[in-house]
Amino acid sequence: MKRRNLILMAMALTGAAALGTTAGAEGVEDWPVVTTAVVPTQPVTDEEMVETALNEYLVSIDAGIQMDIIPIEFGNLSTTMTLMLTSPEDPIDVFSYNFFSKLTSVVANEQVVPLDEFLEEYPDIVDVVGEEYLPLGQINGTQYALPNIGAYGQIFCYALRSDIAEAIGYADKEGQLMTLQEITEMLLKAKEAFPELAFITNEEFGIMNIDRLGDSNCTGVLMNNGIDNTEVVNLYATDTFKEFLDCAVQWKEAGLFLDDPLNQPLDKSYMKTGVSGGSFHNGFSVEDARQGANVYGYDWKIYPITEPVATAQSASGSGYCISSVTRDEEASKKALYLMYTDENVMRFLAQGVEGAHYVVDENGCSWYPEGESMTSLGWGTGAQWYFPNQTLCIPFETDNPHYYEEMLASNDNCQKSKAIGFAFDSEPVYDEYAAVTAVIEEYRDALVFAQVDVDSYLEEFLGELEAAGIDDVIAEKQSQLDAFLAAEE
Amino acid sequence: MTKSEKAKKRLSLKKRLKKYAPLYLLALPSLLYLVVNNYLPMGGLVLAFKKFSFRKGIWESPWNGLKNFTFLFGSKWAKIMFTNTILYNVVFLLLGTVFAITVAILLNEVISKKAQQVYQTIILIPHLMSMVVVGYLVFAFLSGSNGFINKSILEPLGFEGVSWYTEAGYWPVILTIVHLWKSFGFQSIVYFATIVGFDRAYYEAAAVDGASTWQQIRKITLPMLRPTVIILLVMSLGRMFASDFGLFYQVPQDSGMLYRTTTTIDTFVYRALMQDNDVGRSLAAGFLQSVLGFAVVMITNLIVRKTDPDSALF
Repeated sequence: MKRRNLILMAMALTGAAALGTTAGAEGVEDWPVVTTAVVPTQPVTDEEMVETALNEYLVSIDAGIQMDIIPIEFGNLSTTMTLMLTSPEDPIDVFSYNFFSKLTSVVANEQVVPLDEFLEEYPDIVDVVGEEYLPLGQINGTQYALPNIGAYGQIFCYALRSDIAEAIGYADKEGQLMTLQEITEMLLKAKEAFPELAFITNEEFGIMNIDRLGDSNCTGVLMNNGIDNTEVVNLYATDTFKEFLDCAVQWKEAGLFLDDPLNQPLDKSYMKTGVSGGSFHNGFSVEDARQGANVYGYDWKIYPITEPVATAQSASGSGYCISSVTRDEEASKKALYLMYTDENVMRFLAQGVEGAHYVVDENGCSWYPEGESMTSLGWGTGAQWYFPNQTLCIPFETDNPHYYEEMLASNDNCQKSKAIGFAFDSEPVYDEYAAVTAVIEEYRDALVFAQVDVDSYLEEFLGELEAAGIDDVIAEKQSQLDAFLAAEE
Repeated sequence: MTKSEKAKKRLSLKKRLKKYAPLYLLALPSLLYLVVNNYLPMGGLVLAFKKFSFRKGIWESPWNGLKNFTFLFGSKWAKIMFTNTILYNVVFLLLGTVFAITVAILLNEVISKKAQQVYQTIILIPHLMSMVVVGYLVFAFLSGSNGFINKSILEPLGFEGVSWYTEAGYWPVILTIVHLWKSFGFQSIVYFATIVGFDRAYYEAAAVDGASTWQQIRKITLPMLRPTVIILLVMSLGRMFASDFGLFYQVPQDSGMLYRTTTTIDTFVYRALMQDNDVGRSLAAGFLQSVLGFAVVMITNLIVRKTDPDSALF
């Protein structure tokens, strides 16, 4: 509160009059304050600077609200969020469930308010999000969240270090669609040329062309990305999975895996440390995937395995909601609206203050200020995708000023799963689901990294899944999906 | 104590309060802490029987009967996790106590004070280590491709390396060794502190009568240790249905193929509920563990009171 008074005083003395908004600024101290979170991975020392700038801007547009930005350390996200969502005295009004929960959970826990009225009050938000993607924030036909705007479609690919690709003569094949078997052949050659490197360090089930329906355990998926069918099947009993395991056996025998894969974190970080020469990867286009890979240092060539498809899996993941304990729902709605539509509000949140936290070049791309890096800045500036509408930001650390236009175009152009917006609610089969998940955790990694005899263990795995009740889970998922599709029509 | 004596005591309660007022005052902060920290939160246990809604809060959330408990019993894991939890606890309790007492007695027989202090410190070090670190120490031994046991012992001797992290069968032994290694230092110091407090006159008298060291241990130390052993045993029985999460989660590195022998109630609950923020079900699991633990303590104490009233907790 003290800080806000200070801000107001400062504005009263200097800013507001100069901005020529004296009329709008009247009664600013009575404007409701809406809280929202940023989740930095470094200490944010410039909170006050950004907040002041943001609030001055809100006064200048006569927004009728003020905002309080609350930095929550990434490691404490789950605890802090859960506490703030229970606390009517100290609420977090507008928040994203990304990284600590999921839409079905926040709705089941009644942590969020329905947004149907919000859509009526601010109808232009529908176009901003895109009508076909609104269901991403719906449960049983009620809008509870607005999806983060971003690339809903994805390709899954293999990213191979450029020098390796050149050494084995694959450099000019970049961008060509390859089967898993062709990827395997390429990796075998790469391993021969660079025996000290690992080539498979992460699990990426997307390469099997499935729609996981927002369930990373794959307890029931749509084959062929759900483009042409809506039959929920047990992935682990399909031929596709068996073929994948056959590849895994080859990978294991050729030594493509990381040492002790079951004991290491399985991610792409090894691309950066030089332990691996490549990794399964994704992006909304080949170029985007390459750009994403370049973050890890080195130069990369991208070999797509799937075509761009938006699935229930790739499109879901993150969205913004209004807390059910918010002090002022109307003010929160306004804040949510501004975060999706006002580029200045978005940029203050996601990028900070121009000059201090980022600079813009003549191309219209933004960069770290001279001599600064992520860790030295007082504001988290590189995670635009965390925020409601990254496409309002200035493309960051890239030479491509059209990055976000291309992203939006990819959403219109990619193929789409029939199940987009479907989210499985495991509650009706909770006990079976918990049991099935336990079985999957028991066997899956060992199979996928061929650490055990694949044939005999796959059979055992399928038997255990059945005993744990996977058929009930799939039947429930199918009936929920059917109901969802019926409601869509 | 006869009835009249009891009556007298009750009558003098007021006097006692007056007499000991400063002491009660001294205890007040701790009592307050106990109430605030340990008793007030128990009200939240009601959530184990509710379907918690963040909007409605604790008291308004609807009742849910016993539905929060069913996920614990729905599958083959119920049997696995209950037997694992209990069997590990029994083994840890028995071996741990025997081991700790042995070390305590040995420590007591060390004559040089300096050496005693050095040994005490050394055996305490594992106790101070985080389980995450211990997990990696174990991994340094057991890693399939670079581990000490495979690379420096088994393979030079001409045996084939063992894939430790996919073979569930080895882990009851591994976990027991790790647990004992980590906990014996602290436990034996507790026993050692008790032994040091014994009246030396007994030992001197025994020595004068020609008792050997072994006889002294058997006839003096062990019988005198009995009440301490029983109290510590009864108290740890209360944790019979709980387990050291770090030991069972970090040390096997959450390796799926080991679940059969490493899943305890805690790790199962953690894995099942990690993604859901499900307050009701987590509380249900914790509640069940506490109630079962409480029951075990009460029953054991009852037995102890029947057989050896002096050693009973209450």
